[in-house]
Amino acid sequence: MKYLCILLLTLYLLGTSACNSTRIVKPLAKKQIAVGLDFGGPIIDFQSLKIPVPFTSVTTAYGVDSTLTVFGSVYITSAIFGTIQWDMGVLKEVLKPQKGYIPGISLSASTQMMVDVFEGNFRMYPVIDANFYWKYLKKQEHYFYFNFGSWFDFWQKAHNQPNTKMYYPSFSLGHTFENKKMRYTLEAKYIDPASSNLGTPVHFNGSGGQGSWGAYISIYRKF
Amino acid sequence: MKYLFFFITIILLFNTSCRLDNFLYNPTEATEYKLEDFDDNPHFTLDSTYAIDTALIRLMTLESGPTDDRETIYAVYVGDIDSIAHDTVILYCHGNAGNMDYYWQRVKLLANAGGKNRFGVMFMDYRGFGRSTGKPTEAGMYYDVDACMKWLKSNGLTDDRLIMQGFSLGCAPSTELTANPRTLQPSKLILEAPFASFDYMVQDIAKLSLMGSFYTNLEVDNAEEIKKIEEPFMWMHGVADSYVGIQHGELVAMNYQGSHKVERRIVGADHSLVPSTMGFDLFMELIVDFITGKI
Repeated sequence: MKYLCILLLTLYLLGTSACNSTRIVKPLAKKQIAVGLDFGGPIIDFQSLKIPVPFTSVTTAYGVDSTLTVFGSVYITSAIFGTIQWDMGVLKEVLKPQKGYIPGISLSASTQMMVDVFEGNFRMYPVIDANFYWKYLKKQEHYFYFNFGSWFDFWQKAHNQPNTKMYYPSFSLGHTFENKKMRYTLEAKYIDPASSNLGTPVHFNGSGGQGSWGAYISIYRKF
Repeated sequence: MKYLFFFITIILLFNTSCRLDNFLYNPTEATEYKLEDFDDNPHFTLDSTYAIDTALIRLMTLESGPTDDRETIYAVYVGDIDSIAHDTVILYCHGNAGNMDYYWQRVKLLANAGGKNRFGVMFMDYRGFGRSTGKPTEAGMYYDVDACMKWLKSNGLTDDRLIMQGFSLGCAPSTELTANPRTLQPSKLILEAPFASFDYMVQDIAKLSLMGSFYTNLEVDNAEEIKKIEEPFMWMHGVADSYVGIQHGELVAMNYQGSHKVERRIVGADHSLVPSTMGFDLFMELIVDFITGKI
């Protein structure tokens, strides 16, 4: 079963393109469904404020078994601007949370896809995530987590410029409050710390002119 | 099935209403133009030695665009109108913010280049800027600049004496109307802090290879249009440009395929501060030397 899952992940990564997001960190129970709203993005200067870009997406997830969850999302913000954006992914728990400080570990592979309705331009980006989560109360489902995310961009740049950067990492710390029906998550993320955020009309808030902090919240209902 | 239909309908409704096109423009409406009396200059203010004789400042309205997209725009000619028939004229296209008042100091620099009023200078508010009617659009911006060319031509200007100069957003009509001339074919092109294209801009912001069409319907593409231009070309860009990074201008300059190119990378200059960082005298000398063919 373990090797089957690794194979599925690999095939998904190589075939339909791959990997994840931090929307689903811990697998759902078998046959459980979760539907939720995710809100937030990189923090930018907006007039005199610093606000997260209001990316909004709706996600549905389904527990294939107790360690394997599939999920998909559509992005409302992108739709508002005429771009249909969606993703599909699969998450596999590879280690259950242990006693003490040893975290549960999950890996996910997903594909970010987008197409605009005006010119039909299409992009697809594989994403891979590794999640480490700690369930710290015996009788509660709450957990905090660390996520290491990786976006891959293999497309040609505008004006036939060489694509010299194909890998975009991110790091997240988050906490999820969870009960039988609901799941609420707060997350802080540092996006692409190796890229300069200077010289554009959008002013991102990163350290030393690199990358950007991000802030996210999500609310899920489980069925 | 009905939910799928509902979802698609919502998406299509969204798609017909929102694009980021309007975010390109940041106009300030005006009830009157103050020019020399405008005291909110965002970047630099010249001293009194750069003042222009008010008799040589002509504010006018022009009808711009075809009948189904016609607006009344405001423009200013600085210089002796009777001399247009034998003068060299700089047609200056301003940036995306404010209105003509905000760019008056820059225009005065051009009007003082090589001596007071050596060159005629014309600039305009695109539709939706200042007192010009309508809303800003990419096509409208080209109509508005071409309307100025028509006025200049009607006053005797010929192709060989027209210099096209653009700053930031103004590089779009400057490049477009030099590459694809309408009323007049500019004889030289000057671009200060141009952006390459919206695809390039989007990728600069997002880092990923996203397409401009994901956000806008704008087709501004200075990096491609510049390839059509054979006229002499000068590019200036602040190395410390925090708004339109110098890599945009580098690409535009690299794509120029004509035979006469002047490049100036201004160390320490931010987006709007090329003239003041260079020094006004040096900036004006550069303009004169390029126009006169010294460089």
